[in-house]
Amino acid sequence: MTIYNLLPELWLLGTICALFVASLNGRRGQPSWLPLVTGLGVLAALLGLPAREEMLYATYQLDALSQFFKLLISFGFAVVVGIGAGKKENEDLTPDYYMLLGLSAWGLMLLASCVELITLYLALELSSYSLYALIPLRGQDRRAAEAGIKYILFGAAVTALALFGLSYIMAAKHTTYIAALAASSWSFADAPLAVLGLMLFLAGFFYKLALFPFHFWCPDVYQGAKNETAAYVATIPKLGAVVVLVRLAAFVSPHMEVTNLLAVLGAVSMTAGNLAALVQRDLKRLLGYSSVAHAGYVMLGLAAGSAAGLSAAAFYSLAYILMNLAAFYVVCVVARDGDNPGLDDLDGLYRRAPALAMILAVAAFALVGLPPTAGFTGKLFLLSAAWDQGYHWLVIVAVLNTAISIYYYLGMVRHAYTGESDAPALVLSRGAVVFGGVLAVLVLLVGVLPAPLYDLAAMAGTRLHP
Amino acid sequence: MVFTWLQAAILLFFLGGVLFAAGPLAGSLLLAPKAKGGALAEAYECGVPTHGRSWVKFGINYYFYALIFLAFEVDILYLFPVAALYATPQGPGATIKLLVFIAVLAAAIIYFMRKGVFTWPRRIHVATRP
Repeated sequence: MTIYNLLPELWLLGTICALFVASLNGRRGQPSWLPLVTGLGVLAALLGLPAREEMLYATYQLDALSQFFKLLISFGFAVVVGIGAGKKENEDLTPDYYMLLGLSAWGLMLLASCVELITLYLALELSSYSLYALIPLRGQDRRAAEAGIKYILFGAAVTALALFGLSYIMAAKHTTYIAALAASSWSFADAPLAVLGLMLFLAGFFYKLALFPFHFWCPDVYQGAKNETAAYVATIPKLGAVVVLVRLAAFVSPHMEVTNLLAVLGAVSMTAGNLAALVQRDLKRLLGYSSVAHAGYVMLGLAAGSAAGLSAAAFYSLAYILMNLAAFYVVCVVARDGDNPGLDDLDGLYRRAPALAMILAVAAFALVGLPPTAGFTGKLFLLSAAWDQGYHWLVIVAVLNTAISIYYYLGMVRHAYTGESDAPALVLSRGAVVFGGVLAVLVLLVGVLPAPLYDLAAMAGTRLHP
Repeated sequence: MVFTWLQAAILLFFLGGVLFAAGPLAGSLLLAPKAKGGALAEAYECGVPTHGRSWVKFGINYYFYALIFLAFEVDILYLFPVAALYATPQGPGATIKLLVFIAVLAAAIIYFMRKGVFTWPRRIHVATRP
């Protein structure tokens, strides 16, 4: 075992320790070295891409899937830190805040590599506990306290369900190693107890992903939490959920009980999320319901379960965090005094801050899934993978849902470009414009040239389904 | 049906059990002094009359103390299985793992200390809500 293979994790752990020391010194505000260090963390994750190893008694595995997601997680963390860098005067963004964010991201990184169910559960809890502490951090705001309590209670209940399911899996299969579990049968006729347990265990990750019956916390928490926290909660934890679901979905083949459950939940989730989003006025609630819908789209790839489907799910989560981070970047900048922006706050954005309106337009077009953005490419891979496995009805539901979602995504663009308001112009520093511009360009670039990143995702998929 | 001494004994013990549970309840119902009125209907009955309403701000230092104590107590419990393992020599690897665990706990103590949780305030401000 060479320690260099763990560079992405170790780098983030080092960052966390440095933030810990900074918080002990009672510093306020974001440390000035943090953006640079997290940027180097992305570089470390890039260097770690070719690492392949099995370590720690075969519970921890570095493979194409885990390294791909570690890159995404470190990138997302760096972007959230970058968003926070523009808010130096904010009281809540202390080193402690970033330490907890980092710990949560670190837990997700470990989660990406875990190939044993108990280890996986521990890593999941590591990332959740930091979020429980982060969400109520919003000055004296009561909505944040409410959001925090909702998140904890919902999380505790779902965790209990997942652990109960885990006990069934252990009772039926006598092992918790994913490699050994994948080798056994997962049809309901052969192992009813284990299939029931797996469904319950998956619920823990559906909660993180905000899939339909577990999505009730999502809009409330986004609305209550700080804009920067919401930007994190809406993007990075979903990566952790997707990576575990991809690993577990490799157990089953299409048209089995578990796969059909995934497909049905996905279909209901897209429909419920999109219909609820139609009537939202608060931007963060709107994006919350949109993330419920996107969780449904990811299920297309997982239900397909083939190598192509799993790679499509991994690739879509990349597209998802890119376009959501771009959208949340606009939300964070438009918000006055850190309050929740509504649709009306976007009025006249094309005059007040043309660059921001452009970034918003790119993000919205990507969220709908229109070419030439990352959203389109991601959806194309998902739909073709599901169609190949005979989930025709699911593909039809997904396409109809895309049509529904056009209304509210482009509603944001309509407000930004055709709404009029006499609000003063937003003054953006050059760094902020470049930062948002890079995000928007990445959304377009991944849409136009998906091949290099899709190859990485495809490597991850074929590793699980040779 | 044959009724043996064994069955009689079981019945007797059953009766004895019921009496053992119900007797004190019935005894207290019959013998105990009865109190009515006064502070019995108070939400928080401790023998001292309460001041003001319950919606006041109060220092939560003690709760921090108690919760942190509880958390550390549970963490220290994890050392018991380790101690059981040390009946046989474990080598330096196990010791280093143990030290890492204790170092993380120590870091948490330092964190709370620097945040002022262990500095007991001289005076706790109790402000009533207008």
